[in-house]
Amino acid sequence: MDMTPPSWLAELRDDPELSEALELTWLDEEQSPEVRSRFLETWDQIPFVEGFHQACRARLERSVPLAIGTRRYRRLSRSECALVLLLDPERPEQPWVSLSRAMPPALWVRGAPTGPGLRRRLAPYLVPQPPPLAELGRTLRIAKPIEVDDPSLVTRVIEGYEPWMDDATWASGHADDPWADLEPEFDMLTMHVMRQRSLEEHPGRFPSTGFRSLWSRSAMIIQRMPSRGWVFELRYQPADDAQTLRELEAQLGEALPAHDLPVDLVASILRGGTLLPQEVDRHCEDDPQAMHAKVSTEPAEPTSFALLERWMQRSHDDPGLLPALAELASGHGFDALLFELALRLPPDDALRRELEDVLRPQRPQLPLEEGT
Amino acid sequence: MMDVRLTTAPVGSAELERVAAELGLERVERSPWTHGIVSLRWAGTEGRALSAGMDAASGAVLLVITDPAGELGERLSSRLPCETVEEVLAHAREAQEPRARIRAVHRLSTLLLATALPKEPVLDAMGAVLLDDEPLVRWAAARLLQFRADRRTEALLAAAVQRHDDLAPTFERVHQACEEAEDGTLHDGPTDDRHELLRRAREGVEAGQWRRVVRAMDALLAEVPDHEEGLLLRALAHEHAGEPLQALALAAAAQAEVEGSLDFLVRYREHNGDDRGSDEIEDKQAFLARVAEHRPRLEAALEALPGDGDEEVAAALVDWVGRWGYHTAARAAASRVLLERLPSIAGLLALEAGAHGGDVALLRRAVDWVPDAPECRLALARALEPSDVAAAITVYGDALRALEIPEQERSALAQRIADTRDSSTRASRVDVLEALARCTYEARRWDEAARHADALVELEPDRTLGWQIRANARIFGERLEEAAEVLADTLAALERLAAQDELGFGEDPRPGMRFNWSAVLAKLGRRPQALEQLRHAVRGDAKWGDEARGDDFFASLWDDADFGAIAAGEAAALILDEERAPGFIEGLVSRAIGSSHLGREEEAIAGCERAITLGGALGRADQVAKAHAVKARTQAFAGDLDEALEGSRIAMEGLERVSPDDRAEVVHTRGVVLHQARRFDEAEAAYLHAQAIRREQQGEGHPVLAKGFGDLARLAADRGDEPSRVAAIVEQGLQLLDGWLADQTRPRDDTWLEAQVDACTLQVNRGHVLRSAGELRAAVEVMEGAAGRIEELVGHGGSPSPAFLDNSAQLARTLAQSAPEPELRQRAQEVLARLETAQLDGSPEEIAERLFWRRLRSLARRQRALGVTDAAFAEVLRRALRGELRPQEIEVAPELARIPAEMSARTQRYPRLVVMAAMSLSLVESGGSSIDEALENLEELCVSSLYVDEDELS
Repeated sequence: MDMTPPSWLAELRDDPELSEALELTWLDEEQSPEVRSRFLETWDQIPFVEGFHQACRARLERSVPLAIGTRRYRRLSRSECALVLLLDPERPEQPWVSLSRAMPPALWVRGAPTGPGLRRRLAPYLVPQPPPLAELGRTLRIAKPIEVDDPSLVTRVIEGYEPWMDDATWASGHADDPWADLEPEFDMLTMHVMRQRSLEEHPGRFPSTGFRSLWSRSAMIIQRMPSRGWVFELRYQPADDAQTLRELEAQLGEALPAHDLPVDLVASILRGGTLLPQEVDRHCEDDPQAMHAKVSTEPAEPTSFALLERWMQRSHDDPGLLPALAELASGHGFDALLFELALRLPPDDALRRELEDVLRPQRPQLPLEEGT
Repeated sequence: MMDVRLTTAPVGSAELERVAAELGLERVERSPWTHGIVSLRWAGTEGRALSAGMDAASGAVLLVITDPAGELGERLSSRLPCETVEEVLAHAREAQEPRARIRAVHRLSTLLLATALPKEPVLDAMGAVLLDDEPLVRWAAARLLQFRADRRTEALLAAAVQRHDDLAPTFERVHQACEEAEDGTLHDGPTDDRHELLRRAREGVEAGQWRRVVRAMDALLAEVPDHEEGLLLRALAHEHAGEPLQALALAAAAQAEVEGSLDFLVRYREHNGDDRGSDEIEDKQAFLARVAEHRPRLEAALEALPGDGDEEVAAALVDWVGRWGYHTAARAAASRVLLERLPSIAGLLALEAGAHGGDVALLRRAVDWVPDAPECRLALARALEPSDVAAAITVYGDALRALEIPEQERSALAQRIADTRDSSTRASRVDVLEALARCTYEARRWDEAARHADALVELEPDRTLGWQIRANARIFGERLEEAAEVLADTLAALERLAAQDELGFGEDPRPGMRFNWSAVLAKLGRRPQALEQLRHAVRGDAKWGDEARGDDFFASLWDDADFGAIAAGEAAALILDEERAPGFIEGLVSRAIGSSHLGREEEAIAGCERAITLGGALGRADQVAKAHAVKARTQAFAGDLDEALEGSRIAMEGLERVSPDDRAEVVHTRGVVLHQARRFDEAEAAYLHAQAIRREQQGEGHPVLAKGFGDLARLAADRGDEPSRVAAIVEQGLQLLDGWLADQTRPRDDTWLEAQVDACTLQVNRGHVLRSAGELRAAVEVMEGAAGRIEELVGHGGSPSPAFLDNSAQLARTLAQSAPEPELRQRAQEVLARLETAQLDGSPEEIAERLFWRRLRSLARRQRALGVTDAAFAEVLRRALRGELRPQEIEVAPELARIPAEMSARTQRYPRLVVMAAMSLSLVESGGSSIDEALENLEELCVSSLYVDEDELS
């Protein structure tokens, strides 16, 4: 292995504008191994698939931390996440940039050998303030086949293992990130009130937890769907890391749902597998899991309505499927389909009677206490 | 120009995005799915915009096109299959088949999403569907209309209900929503947020939506019945409802409450002489000005009201009086304004109005109106007391007689008065008797006072005043023999109440009553008892010594030397008889040692000082030396080294008189104090001296000697001796303990536990020594042994101190970070995990339970480090549960062999664990969970099963 320092290192070190813009502190020969050992210490605690974990560790072991730069802080716990420039001796053409010690090294951002180039490459990750969700041009909804029921398990994993995701989260009661308008420094009382409010669920929406990434300021809204599935809604501005993502796909042996995703969103969807939208589209007419995924990722869409309608029509040959389809329609608000299904069933059919019980006009239930 | 259309084919958002982009529009908004609807909005140049509402119910998309040029609608239609509003209405009219009618009515409903669209034609078309003879069709229409709150929909439903009564629930719902929309309460969900309730009521007053005011303020006042603004706003709602009596009553109550608190604030500010509370005063004044605006109008309305209020108003006021409880200003003010208007409860109103401020005339009227209500007589007596005690005593007597009438035989109003009070404010025999005892005592009517107090303590033995009057009235009535007996009971009662912390506010009455008792005994010539009680009194408060020297009840003792010494407060003279008893001082020292170990230093030092005083006075040099030693040790660790050195020196002076059992401890304490003072060589000599005494008394192998080695090693380390010397001393201690603990026949008693604690301490110290010498592998090995010892100790109910565990964990952490080899770091990490486990709180069973699971997790982590995946380990565990382990697996991880038996024991306690464990481990195998999570969950289940039934767990 060539141990000669790459030529760009001196150029970057001597670029005061770069150091100022990225708040870089260059590491000396003693500090660099210490930083690497902290990286390793953290990485060893992060669970991932065995082979992938090992490959990432190998990259960490051979790489040389060069400088520590901009820090971002979670809004509640104030725990920090620092940007670190590294040299990978096997790929020394340019520096690599880690956005968190807990993030897989496979997702280090490819830097550039010049100061202006490096700043350009990192611009999508140095968004200063979280923009409103509407300003995040891309929306991607992906189904995640996670076999857990308790949403807190999912959020705990993110809060525990993904420090690049902010811990100021929000529930479905908020169509946008309620923390975004707040000054970065807020007092305990404000925090307490905001925590309470941010946890409010909207009775007419799917229960959800919204996260904001600290670097690209993208949003990831995790929804628990009525079909018991999980949907991750990703709201982001496109990033230019397609090459890194393709290499990651090769390393994982799995495809990613898009190649314009910022790496700090990709790092949060790696666990638990993903049903790719293109695969869902391909199989949704004949595979119940794909059909569920289609309806969950595209709720309220006429295309989902039509898909479910086709499944209901076909299911007259397999009436065992109808109750599940009716439940899916009910959970997603496809009311016309429910009425039409009831109409098609014979009057003495058990499912029809169940549907009629649901669809018949009813008085609102009184909120009586138990025992009254 | 605005154009509204509805899609006629399944168009998804991707298609919409594509078309919008083609039309030069950029997306600016996308809502979350809400009640089945997702909204999107795009904007373009020159005011062009497109909104789309995807409606899950109909499967259609509502398109609202804004384009000043008027061409966007056509361009859109050419790209997306859609129809106009007129076409949707026409198709709805033409729909024949029930299924088509269902689809049509849903499409009509989607049109209602367009806010700017005239709703009437669409609603009328949906109204026609409500009349459909096919239930599912009309139910579909009803379901779509059920959340509307407009009168047109209500009328359509009213007409439909005439034909199909199954639509009645929908009609009722819409009717109520219409009412609430007009009241402004449609979106007022349940809340207990006071600010929100006030906001609603204020908005309601502004908008004249009085039902909104009533609903919000009734909710607020249910929680806070004296809320000033709440009362005022509720009063205004009463006024609007044509209820001037209630309006005036509540406004008066609000005003009285504010006046009361304003008066307090002003006086408080005057007292402080600064401007604190000014903002609050201004707020109160502004509120009073606000009430003043309304009050004349409310009074005028009351004047204009013909006749009196009815029973409903009376009941409401009685209810308020009860709810206001201790807020007597509010009760009085509301009652006073209605006094002449509610004859059916005039007695109650006079009582309320008169009791606040002591209006005797009004209270006499109350008594006249409700003579059988004891509350009226009690209030009158209290009002009379300051000016005419004799009259008050008479009325209290009347109250006592009124209380003798059974409640159910009293008049209805008397019962109603009682109902407005809770058990603590209702007139009671206890209150009246106490008042009678107090008044007759103050009036020097001693026999009566004694009689009332006797009755009082019999009825309520927890009132201190009753006991005091009972005794003192007899003393002043010169019934001294009786008084002496009664005082014995009184002091016993006061001590009992003091132990229960129920003596009440103010000065402790016990020293005074001891003095009185002493005086009576002296007068009766009972010298020893009199002196003993005087000792108590003077120890409680020295002033009683002076009092005794001037009180002629003590005349017979004035020349008595003991009396003189007691009255002068001489320490030796103040020793009580019980304190001279054998074992008393030993008990004090023993309790001081306990307090010192628990960190209650002041308590420990006070106990030692008492023991030193008593021991000195009684010639108990052994206990004095021991108490000095305990005090010195406590002071040394509290940082008061000078005092500690002096104390330990004094203790050593008395060493020869200390019992052989305690002698080593006194010398050792001297060593501890010198050690703290960093006088190492002297400390070492003292430690060695103590060791020699212990050897002589306990024998060479006794575990108590290990403590000495521990301190000697610590001393050597602190002095900077060679590590090898420190290590050698630690080894000596450990060898001794290992030898003693090796005897398995020893009972697991306190000595065994203490030896085990000492062994843990020495072992960790050995780890420190090795680490500082750079022998990290040996240090890790030693710490592994230490962790095992600590676990064994915990398993036998021992509890190492948190500070020791922190210290041990810190060493393990340091090793985990600094060991060069990964394998060694991993082992140190394991030790750390085990030590952290040992810090768990809980019952011994819970700790044992947690230890089992933590060890299992530790095993899983070790296996993971060796390349075993979570899924593979879960699979092995699942087989272990079934007893199907393979020999090579047990060879690799011997801990696995114990799992079937351990799990079997748990399953007996919690049968469902079999299923839960299998499920959790399957989840790990499928990648849905980590082994850590699964084992943590199972741990919590098993721990819970220790405390609750399985049914509760499920």
